[in-house]
Amino acid sequence: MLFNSIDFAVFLPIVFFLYWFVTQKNLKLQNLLIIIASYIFYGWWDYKFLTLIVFSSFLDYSIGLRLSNCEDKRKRKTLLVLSLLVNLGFLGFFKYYNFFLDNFVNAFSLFGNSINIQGLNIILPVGISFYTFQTLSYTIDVYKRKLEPTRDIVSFLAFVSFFPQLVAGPIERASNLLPQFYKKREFVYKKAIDGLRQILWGLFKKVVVADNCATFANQIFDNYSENSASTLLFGALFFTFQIYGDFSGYSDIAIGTSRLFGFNLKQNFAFPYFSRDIAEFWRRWHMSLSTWFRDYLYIPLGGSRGGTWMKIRNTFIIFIVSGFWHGANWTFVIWGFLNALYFLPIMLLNKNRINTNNVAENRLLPTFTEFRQIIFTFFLTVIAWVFFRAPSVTDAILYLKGLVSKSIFSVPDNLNSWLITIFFIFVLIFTEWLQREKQHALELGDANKIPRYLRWCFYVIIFFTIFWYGGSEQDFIYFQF
Amino acid sequence: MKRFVINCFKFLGVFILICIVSLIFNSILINSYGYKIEENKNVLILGDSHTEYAIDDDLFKNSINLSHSADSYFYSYLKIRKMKKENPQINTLILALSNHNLLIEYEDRWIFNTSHIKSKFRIYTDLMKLPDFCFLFKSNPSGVIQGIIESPKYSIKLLFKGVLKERDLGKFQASNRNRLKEDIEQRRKNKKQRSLEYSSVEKKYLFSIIDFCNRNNVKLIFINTPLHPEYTKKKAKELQVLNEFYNSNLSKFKFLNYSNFDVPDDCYQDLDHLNAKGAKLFTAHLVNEINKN
Repeated sequence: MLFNSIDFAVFLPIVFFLYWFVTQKNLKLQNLLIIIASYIFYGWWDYKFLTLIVFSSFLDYSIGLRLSNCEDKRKRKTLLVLSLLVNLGFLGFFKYYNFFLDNFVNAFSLFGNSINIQGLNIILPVGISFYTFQTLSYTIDVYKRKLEPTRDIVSFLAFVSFFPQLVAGPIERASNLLPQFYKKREFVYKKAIDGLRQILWGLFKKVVVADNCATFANQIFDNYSENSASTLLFGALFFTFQIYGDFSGYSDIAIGTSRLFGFNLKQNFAFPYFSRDIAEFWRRWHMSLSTWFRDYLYIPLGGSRGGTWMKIRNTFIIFIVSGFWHGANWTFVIWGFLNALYFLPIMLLNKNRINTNNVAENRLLPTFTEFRQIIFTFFLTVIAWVFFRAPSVTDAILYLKGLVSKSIFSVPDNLNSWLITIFFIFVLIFTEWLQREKQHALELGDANKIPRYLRWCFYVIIFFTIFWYGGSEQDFIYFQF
Repeated sequence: MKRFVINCFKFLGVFILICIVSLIFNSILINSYGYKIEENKNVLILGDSHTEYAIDDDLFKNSINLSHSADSYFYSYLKIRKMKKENPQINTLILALSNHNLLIEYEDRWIFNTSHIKSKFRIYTDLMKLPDFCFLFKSNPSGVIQGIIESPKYSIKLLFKGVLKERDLGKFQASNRNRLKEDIEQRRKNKKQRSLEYSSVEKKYLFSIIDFCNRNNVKLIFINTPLHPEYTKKKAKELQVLNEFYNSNLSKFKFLNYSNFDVPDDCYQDLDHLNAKGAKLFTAHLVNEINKN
């Protein structure tokens, strides 16, 4: 079920009503309702793949219990390896089987031997990368004795399948989300209203910004060889805002929806396009994945404790794996590699933690230096997104090559038809800039001083804008990951 | 919780109220301009893009062309009903009848499709009576709701761009587009044959138009505008089915079938639509033919 669909608009109030008015007095029943709702939510897309989630959940639940009763180091390790093998095995099969097979066949053909192996027609289960990482975090934390294993199967199933973040994150840690299922949730008016505001902004980002940008980005990327450099530049910019609006929009809706049910999810995007360097960008973009890789891959590999070569190696590993996590294509690997390259100089100069505060804190506008840094960082990310979006590495290189031309100074032919979307991108940038110190763009703070009727006018306008200017309904990009 | 629920309903209430108020506002504003046409115009031309691009009503002196792209017979029915009421001098209706109008495929594309309803609803709300509204709502509630939500946007357009410009009931469109070659290429590649089944809904509204014309002494003439030979070749079966349908159901009405009318290639914008030059040529011929009879 898509968040931006009529189905979800009907589904959410029904679940909300049952949750707060029918099952409120019984925590177990409430958690059970979450499981049922989550399975319906997921099954709406393809009920057959529910078996995967259920299987993974039961496996990790029982491995967690066994780990708690086991002191033998070897046995504990075996249990952890079993969980990793099964979960990553599913992920590897559904997501990477054909990729490895194709590359294997291609590698053979390089030596003059051609082998004929047919790939399988595999459908990628929606959200598999997300819930796999979520359940893995549970097993690893229990193994490391950072988390007490749960004996409450209902809570655990609800934790793994919690519908707001099941298919595209944020990837919640068991230590943050699981305990919330043990306690009775209280309805807090301010929290719920703030959740609704966050959903509204998420829908604006997804439906108005991302879906409209998607139409133009698709047209330009699909015919890049026929377009002028200025059009290609706009294409790359449209994709840059498409992916941000799409993914951060999803996260906003997920976090906002969770708040309606009394849950707190971690912030997943902290206005990343206002970053002053690439390290700050990665602290602000898809934070739940970045921290996951940091805690479960980078640190176990030695992190930055070793020598310079170790740091460089670990940086490249984490970025390339992160790229590969996004999809089974060399474009994602190159995208990760490129980001590692961007990151390398500031890491080697020990400047990767200089911009940890908010840009232009307590000021309306950035300084010239900050502005220059933001634009430069943004430019780097735009270049990297070309690899992310292009169907192949060759296409990405040709696309970038097409940007280097005198026609970069020409006015794109379709500029007039893009104007309304460009306007909405500016609305997005302007609103998020004003609210960059908050958790989301419609969070009240000083805005509380604005008269209520004015705030309502703003919300009503956004609400209408979503209906009037919503682009053609598109799947969330991150569903494919 | 009570406060939350009340505020949610208040918000939705404001939203619904704005939509309803703007629907009423649009209706009042559009009605204030009325649907009156010049007294000497007694021929009404209705249909889809075929007639929209082919008949230049500036050259056909006593006519008015209100054809609109992708108009189904449902919308043509609404138009003739309203126009006749407001303009009793209308005594002739020229209605597009082409190979595709009655196909089942077009029932979905031109009547029930959500984005189609969304774009047409605001234009035709004022022409609808309760049963028409109920028919659309039953067919696609989501489309109608989305159409209603569009009404405040339409109000803004009516106010800022002007009612006459925005009340797009349809008119002759002089096109300078030229994509005949691409269209020929595209259709050659496309081997798919459409289902020849006719839509019961489209037939129902076609017969409603016939019934209306009979009851109100309006002479009904069907017209099929010129089609490129490549098109007629490709759609031969559809044209044959149309002729059979005409012979068995509509034969007491005149059918000006110009599907094989000889028009040079530079008069087409694509395989089944004339351009401005073609419209000029064709309309002159049509006026001559009608005057002869």
